[in-house]
Amino acid sequence: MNCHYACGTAAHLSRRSFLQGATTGALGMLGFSGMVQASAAQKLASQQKQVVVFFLKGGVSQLETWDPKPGTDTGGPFQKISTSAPGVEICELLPHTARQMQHLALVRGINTKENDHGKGAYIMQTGYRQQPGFEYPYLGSAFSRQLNPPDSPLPGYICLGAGARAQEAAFLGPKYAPLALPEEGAPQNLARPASLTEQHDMQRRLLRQRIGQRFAPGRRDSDLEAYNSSYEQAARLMARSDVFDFSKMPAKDEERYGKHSFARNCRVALRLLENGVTFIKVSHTNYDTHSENFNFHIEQLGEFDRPFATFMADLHERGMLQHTLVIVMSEFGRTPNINSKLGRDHWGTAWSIALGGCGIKGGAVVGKTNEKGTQVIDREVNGGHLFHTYYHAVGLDSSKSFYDKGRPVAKADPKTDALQEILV
Amino acid sequence: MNRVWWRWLAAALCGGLCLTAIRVEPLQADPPQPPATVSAIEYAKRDVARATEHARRLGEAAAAVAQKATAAAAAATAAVAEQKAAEREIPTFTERLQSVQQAHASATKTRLAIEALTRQTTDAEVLPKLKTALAASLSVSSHLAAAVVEQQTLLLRAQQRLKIAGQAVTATVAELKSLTESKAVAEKSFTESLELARSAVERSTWFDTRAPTLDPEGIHLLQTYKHTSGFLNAQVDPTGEHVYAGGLDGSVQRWDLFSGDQTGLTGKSWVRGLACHGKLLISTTYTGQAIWWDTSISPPKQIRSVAAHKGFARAAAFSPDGQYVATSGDDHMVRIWQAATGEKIAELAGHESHVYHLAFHPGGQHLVSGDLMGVTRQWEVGTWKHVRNFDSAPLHTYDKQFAAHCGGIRAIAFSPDGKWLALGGMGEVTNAFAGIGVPMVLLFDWQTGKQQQVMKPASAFTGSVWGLEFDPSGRYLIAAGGGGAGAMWIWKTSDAKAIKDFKLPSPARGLSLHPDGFRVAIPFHDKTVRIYDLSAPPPAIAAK
Repeated sequence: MNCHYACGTAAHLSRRSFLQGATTGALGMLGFSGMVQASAAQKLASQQKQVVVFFLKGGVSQLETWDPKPGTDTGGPFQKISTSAPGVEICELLPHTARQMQHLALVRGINTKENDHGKGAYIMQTGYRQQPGFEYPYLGSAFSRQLNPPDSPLPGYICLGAGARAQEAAFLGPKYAPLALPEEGAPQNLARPASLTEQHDMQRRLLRQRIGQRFAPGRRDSDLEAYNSSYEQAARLMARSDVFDFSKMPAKDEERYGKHSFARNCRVALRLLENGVTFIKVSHTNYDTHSENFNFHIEQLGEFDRPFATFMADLHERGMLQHTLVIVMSEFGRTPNINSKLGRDHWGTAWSIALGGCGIKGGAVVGKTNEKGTQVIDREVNGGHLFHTYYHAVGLDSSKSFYDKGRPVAKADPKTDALQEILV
Repeated sequence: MNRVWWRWLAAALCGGLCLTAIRVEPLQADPPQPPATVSAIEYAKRDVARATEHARRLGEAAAAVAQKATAAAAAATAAVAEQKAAEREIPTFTERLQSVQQAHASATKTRLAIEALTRQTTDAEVLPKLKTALAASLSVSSHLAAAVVEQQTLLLRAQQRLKIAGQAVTATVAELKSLTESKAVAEKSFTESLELARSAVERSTWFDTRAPTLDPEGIHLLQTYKHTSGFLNAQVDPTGEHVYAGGLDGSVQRWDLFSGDQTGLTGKSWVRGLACHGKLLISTTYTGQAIWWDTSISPPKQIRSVAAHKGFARAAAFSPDGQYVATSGDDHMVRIWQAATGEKIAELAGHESHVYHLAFHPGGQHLVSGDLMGVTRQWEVGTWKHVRNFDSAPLHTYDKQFAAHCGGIRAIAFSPDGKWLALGGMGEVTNAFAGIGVPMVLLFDWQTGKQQQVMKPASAFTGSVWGLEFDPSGRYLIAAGGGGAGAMWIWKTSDAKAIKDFKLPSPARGLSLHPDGFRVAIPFHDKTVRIYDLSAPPPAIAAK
């Protein structure tokens, strides 16, 4: 049986990666993993393109972040502040981020025409509107598939905070599904049970591999590969358990980032990037502020601002921004109208995201909304434009297609194109 | 106009006499209430005097405008008549000019004919006659030319007159239109002032008839003041003459409670904190400013602005003696200022979240402040030392689903005798971001610091208490607030369940008790401030 998923030109690559993963897992079991991984990490750090998405769940307000409108009846109580990018002003709730704006570009003309949480999140993470009976792969899975080195011992797509679903990989296959790290850090059951000796464990694995190899010929399909892949991934993870030992993160960073969960996730993301993880999604919850939007944005952005800005500064300081694309997105923005609960409601009509690092012109702004933020008046874009831009930023060709059961699936909506205004 | 005025006065007098004859039945089965405060009755009488005076002034103003409008109408009529007269002149002068021009042309033609004959004639006998005829013709032609010029001048003057008359018509008609509109406005204002005065007379007469009491079933709307943006707070000044309201447009709006006249005090940021004492008003803004206003002059003048807090300055309060102003804000601080000078004299640290509200105890020896996390701290005035905390945790919720803190101390009130402390906000939150929780008031015994009641509405309602006051007797608590909808609640201090849930037309953002003890000013999200009367209404209103 032919492999029907994640294939096209990469059928043999998937096979190769399968074997290499198995080999690496076995080497890891034999104690060579440290040497292999250290050199791989160095290589990855210098060459591999990496991506971090900060997903602000619930729909962060563009007026309280990237596109403030103070002094208007939609603007709310907050003022705008100047930033390290000349001429670029953002909301005063992001004072630390304001000092990193030389690394960030703003897209202020997004109109996804979608006010539903799930559908909005889908557009922003797949680049397409949801279609009945078909699933597009999420950005994390797609980039894991295209950017993660075949010999990488680590999962290509890791999620921190809430928001990871196995279905995100869609037809690309479970290998590219996100690995969700729990609150406490490391994947669960990472250590070998004490009752099992290393030798017995290795024997079991080799036996499983041999049986699998005898069973596999003529039977390749996604379920089987996923089954085998999961054991291999588990083995690789166990071999690199040191990556997930976050107790070794510098204590002084806790002062710089903060002590709360999101701050810790930013530090974890940095450490995972340093260890070569390709794609990381850090979720921050929650911004669905139908009531008391302003009080809650003080609270939530107060939590987001400093760790995010510190993360950006650290990436820059380590030279990692050159190969790391950072995106701050939500499923949509929030209404300019302030409702009777002093809240703002769902709003996909005229809102913003920020992105920076690899391939992005820091300090650039594209798109414009009107005086009260009720309409895009210049360079209106949707999820498709953004996906083309992400692809271009990391050096991938967004005009190519994946193939699902032989059917081409454009990597980014062909009706749209990249935002050259913010690309290097 | 004067006839209207006297008719109203006669009707008011008659109404007053009639009202005195009405026998009043007890309105509710409440325990006997203390005698009505003298002040409420006196305030009502003062309202009558002020409202009557206001109506008189507006009546005079309306009459003056009407007089001007009448004069303008006469002027416009005269201008139109003049225009018509000027119009009538034009054809006459045009006709005359044409006639003279024709005569002149004819004479010229004759002269030219004689000249031609003269040149052709050689007959010595005829020639002198022709010369004589030519001279006569020349004379006639010359006279007619002069006549043409004269008629042209006359026509020009007539046209000029018509033009001037037209301009006069335009001007006088515009003036008449403007004055007619002014007259309509003035008459409307006068009519409204008459209604205000009538209402004041009715209320005062009613109070003379029956001592005013707080009547939860008789709550009625007295006034609605409209603005162009929503409000976050309102405060009636200690004289009971004005209500101040802080809004989302950054301004503080002032309304004269007798006349309804509106004055805007400009600002740049949302205003939540408002406090009045003597001739001072303090407003605090979402940019952290505390602004001093001198209210003894009209319009009130800003006399000082201090950077009181980093982030929102949420609340302000005067000490009972007016010596101190306390402010609180998002920087977790309470700060104390000399009211007279604006000098900062103390910084009270200890809160670990945004300090939403604060109030001085009526005894003047203590201050309490409450924050987002439901922590209420008591401070000693003078030493400014922390004394104790009140357990107000029910007013705070950490919503795990949304990972956010919700609620906080939104309102603080002391009973006039200082025996009770009430804290208002929202408890039992099930969905922070949708504002789903229960309006709640925690009642504490000030002496012991123990919680006595957890007070909630009588019926299901979601939202928060935003404003809270004790009535002058200290036996009732009055709160206003809302979520998607608005409501006012009244509790007896002895009961947890409200004795009255009164539906409001929009979410309320505060509540301020008038010094008469019966009126409350409530600021609303729907761009209005409304004045409600909590006392039993006069029969005419009750009948409605």
